[in-house]
Amino acid sequence: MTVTAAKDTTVGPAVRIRSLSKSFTSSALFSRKKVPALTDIDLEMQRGEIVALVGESGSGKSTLARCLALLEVPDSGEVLVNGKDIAGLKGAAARKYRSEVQMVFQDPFGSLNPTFRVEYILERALALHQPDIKSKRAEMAKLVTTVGLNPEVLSSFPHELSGGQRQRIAIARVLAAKPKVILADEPTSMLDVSVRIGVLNLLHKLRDDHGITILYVTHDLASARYLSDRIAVLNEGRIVESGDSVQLLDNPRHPYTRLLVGAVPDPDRDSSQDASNRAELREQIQRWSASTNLKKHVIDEASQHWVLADESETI
Amino acid sequence: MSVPVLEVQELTVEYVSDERAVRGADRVSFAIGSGEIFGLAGESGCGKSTIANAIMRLLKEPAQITHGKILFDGQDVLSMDEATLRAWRWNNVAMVFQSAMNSLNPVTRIGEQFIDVIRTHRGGTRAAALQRAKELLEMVRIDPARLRAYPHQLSGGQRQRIVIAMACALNPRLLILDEPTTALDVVVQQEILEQIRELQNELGFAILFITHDMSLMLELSNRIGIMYGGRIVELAPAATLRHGSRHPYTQALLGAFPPLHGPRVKLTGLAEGTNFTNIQDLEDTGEGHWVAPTDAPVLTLGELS
Repeated sequence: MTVTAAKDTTVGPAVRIRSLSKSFTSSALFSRKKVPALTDIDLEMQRGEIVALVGESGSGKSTLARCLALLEVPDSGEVLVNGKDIAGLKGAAARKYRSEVQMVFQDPFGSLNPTFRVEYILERALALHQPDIKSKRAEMAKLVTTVGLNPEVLSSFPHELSGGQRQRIAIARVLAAKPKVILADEPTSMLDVSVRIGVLNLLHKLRDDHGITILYVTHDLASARYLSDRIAVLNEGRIVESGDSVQLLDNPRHPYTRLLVGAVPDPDRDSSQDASNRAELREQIQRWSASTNLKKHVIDEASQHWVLADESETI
Repeated sequence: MSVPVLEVQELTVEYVSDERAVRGADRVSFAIGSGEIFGLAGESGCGKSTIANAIMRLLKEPAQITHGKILFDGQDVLSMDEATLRAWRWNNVAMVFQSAMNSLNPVTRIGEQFIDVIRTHRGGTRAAALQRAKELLEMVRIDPARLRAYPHQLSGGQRQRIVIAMACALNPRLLILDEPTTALDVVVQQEILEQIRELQNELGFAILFITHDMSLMLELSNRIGIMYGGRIVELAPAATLRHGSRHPYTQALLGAFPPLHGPRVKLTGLAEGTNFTNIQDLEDTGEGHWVAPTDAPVLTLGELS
């Protein structure tokens, strides 16, 4: 799968995040502690690029997507989307921003209103985001066809559809807003395995046909490699390694990435990572992240592969 | 194959309501040899858990076993009365349920829960039971001092390991694992699987392993049965299944997991709305590879990529 002409690099990046930090307050009985969720995040996404954010639960990947969706307010740092700062967006400006940056959620069972037919769900989205459309009916038929469904589903209720079909409807609703950026937070983890790949293929097609920039949040390295152009690995709120998906997974340098890659079940692998490998990697991760002098080390310029490490480490 | 520990023959389970009966499992047959790891794979609703519960005789109304036999060491499980069943469960067959880490009693210390299991089934003194609990915790590499902990003081992975250790407490001959690593992170998942393999080497039990994750299944199991709509559509040794699957549904399942290495190729998975109906009985194609005949086109390797 190659990157197609839909990728437009003549203008600035679609998303530019600079030294973003976010912490949550945990309130114990007598102490209020700040727990850092994201620390000093830098991330750029070109127009029409698919970037995967991977990491374990609690690594901060969803928090980053939520910051982009205006659902969380970062403590510090800058987020530019299409060149515009999104800090403090309110009212009409916030509404306009939300139609440009849409989110696909993990659970298609919870994100569609069960009391309305699909046509109503899509009609509402069209009325909000594209009020001047004359023939809503034709536009809705077009939307469901784009996501690979038959226009007959318009008269169904969400409970009559399978998980895969529901997630496709959720994506059709997102498309009704004509978004420039889609934030997909684990969009396939609730779906049956045999239809997951279809939803990933659909996201890929949206990028190819409509030039939509996609942030794919997942814990599944194999699907990240399949869908995305670039992967950013999050560990304890920091991006510790990033680069071209295939290159990065073939040649992981950060101990955390190596730990993750080694843990993915792979029947073709000769020897699996054993307990002593894991203990050694964990110790390295601790040492690397405890450093106060973390710098980005470029490993390969062409594939934008870099790793966050102390200068004294041999990479 | 060695003498089977468990034999399931033509097992049919129906969920009966006033209007109609739905078959949760439909004439399912397989056998698990002593010390073998047998996997059942399939999507949600295909009947994998129904079979596990049928073997343990845990099915409740409206589920009914309407046909078939379950033999454990040649003993008929379906004809056992309640008292025999109570003695048989856990002593001979133990089960780790889906999201089992939440099945520990939150208000009782881990140690008490071990003692409870051991003394209920085997009797003996508290001290002896506690000693056995310590050994078991060491086997799954958890500090025996943690026996004094409450479940909420442990991580999800630790709790899962404790539940597995508890299942092994009475040296069962068969361990049923229903999605033992769902909801755990990949690294923890790897640790748990390793632990299961180690325990199996040490204690020599057979495993019925249930999951929807094909890559996990292929890594752990010796033989695999693929289920669809209550029926087994293909049954083969893991290596045969990986490289020479014959049923289009198996191929779709395998094709749903993108590889971590090699070139990136477009996968298709199963088209939305594909249905297999009227699945025939398995036919032997040699070397322990059984396939249900189907009219649907079988994909060749070229078409898969």
